[in-house]
Amino acid sequence: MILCSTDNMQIDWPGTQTWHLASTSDCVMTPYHLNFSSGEIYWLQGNNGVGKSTWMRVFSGLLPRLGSISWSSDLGSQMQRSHYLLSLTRDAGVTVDLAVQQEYFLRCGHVISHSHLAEWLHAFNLTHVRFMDCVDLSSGQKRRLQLMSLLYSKAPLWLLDEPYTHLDDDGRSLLEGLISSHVARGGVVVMTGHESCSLRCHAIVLSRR
Amino acid sequence: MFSFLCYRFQSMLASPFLWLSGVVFWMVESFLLLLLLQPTHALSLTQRMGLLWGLLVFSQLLLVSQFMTRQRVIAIVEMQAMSQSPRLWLYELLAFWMMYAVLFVSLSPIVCLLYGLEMSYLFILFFLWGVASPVCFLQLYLARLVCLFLKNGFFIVVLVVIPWMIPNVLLVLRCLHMFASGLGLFSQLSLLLGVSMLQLGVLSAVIDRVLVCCHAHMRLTV
Repeated sequence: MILCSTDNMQIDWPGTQTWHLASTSDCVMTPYHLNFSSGEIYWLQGNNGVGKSTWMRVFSGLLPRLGSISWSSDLGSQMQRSHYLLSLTRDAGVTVDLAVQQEYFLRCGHVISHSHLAEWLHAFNLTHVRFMDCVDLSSGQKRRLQLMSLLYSKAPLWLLDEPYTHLDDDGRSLLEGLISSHVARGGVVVMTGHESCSLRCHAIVLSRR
Repeated sequence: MFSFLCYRFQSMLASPFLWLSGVVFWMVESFLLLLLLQPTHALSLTQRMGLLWGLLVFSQLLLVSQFMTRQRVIAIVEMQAMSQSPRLWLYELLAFWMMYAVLFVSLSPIVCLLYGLEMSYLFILFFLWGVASPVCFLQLYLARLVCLFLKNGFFIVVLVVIPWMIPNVLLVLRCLHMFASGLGLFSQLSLLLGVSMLQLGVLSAVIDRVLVCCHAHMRLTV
C-alpha cells in the first residue's frame, strides 16, 4: 500500500536549484514523483551539500515547499504523519530527564509517566546520565537522546537525518531494531547517511541541476 | 500549555547564566550611574524613576540578546512545526518574562535603597513595567530576530522596529511625569494599557510570520 507520494517536491525559495531524484528500484515513478510504500525503508543518498537534510526539512514542512505530498486516505485525521528528529540544542543546566519530558510533552501533548521515562532511559542506556546536564553528554549519548523520541512516535513515516552518526555498535543495533519493528508494523522510514546500512532499503539518489 | 511553561521555567532556573547576567548588569549599572550622578537628592523624582526605567529596558535588551541565539530560534521553529503549536515561541518568551517579573519584584528593597525611592513609587513603577514591558520584550525579540537572520538586519531594525518603540517610551514618560507631579494617572495609564494591548496583538502576529521566514532564510541562503 502506498502510504504517501510526493509530486515534484521542490524548495519554494528564490535562487535555489531544483532537485533531481533517481532510483534503481521501482519506487520512483518519474524523476520527480516518489511513492513511499508501507513497510519499506528508503535511503536518500547524495554528495555533501546536495541538500539531503534540506530535502528532509522540506518534506516535514519546516521549510517552504513547491509541489504536493499526498497521503493515504487511511491517515485522514492523523495530525502528525511524519516524525522528524529535532535538532538537539539544549541550554546548559537542562538535564537528560527534563529534556525527555519536554520533548515528550511537545510531541504528544501530555506529561510522561515516571515509569515510562525510566524504562526508555534504560532501553537507550542513559539511566546513569539521567540527571546529567545535556551539554556534558558525549556525541553518541546526545544522538541516543535524540533517537529516544522514536520509542513513542505514533507517526507512520519516520524522517531520520543521518541517524547512524556517532552511534556505537550497540546504538546501531538498537536503532536498527526500532526501524525494523516500525517497518514490520507497516511504517515507512526515509533516512539519509553516508555509512553502510545493513537493512534492506531502496536507494534514492538526490542531485541538483 | 501550562506544563510547557513549567518545563521552560525549570529549564531557566537550571540555567542561571541566561537570566542572572541581566540582573547583575542592571544592578552594577544602577550603582555606577548613581555614583556619577551625585548628589542623588538633586535629581527629581521623575529623573530617578526615568533612570530606573531606562536601565530596566537596557537590561532587557542585553537579556534578549543573550537569550536569543540562532540555535535556540532553530530549535523553537522545529518544535513548533513538530508539536503543531504555532505559538511556542510566545510561551517561551512568557516564561522568560515571568522569571524577570519575579526577580525584579524580589529585588525591590535593594532598588529602593539605591534610588532613594519610597515603596509606593516603586510599586507604581513596577506596575508600569508590568503593563509596558511585554511589548518591549516583543519589540526586542523582533529586533533580535531580524538582526540574527537577515543580512543588513541591523539597518532594517533601525528603520522599521526602533520607531515603534518611541510611542511607548513617551507614554511611560508621561505617566511617570503625571505621577511625580501628583496628577491623576488613570487616563494616561488607560491609554498605555490600550496601546500595549494593541501592539501585543500586532507584534505577535508579525513575529509569527517573521520567525518562519527568518528560519527559512537562514537555512536556504548561503
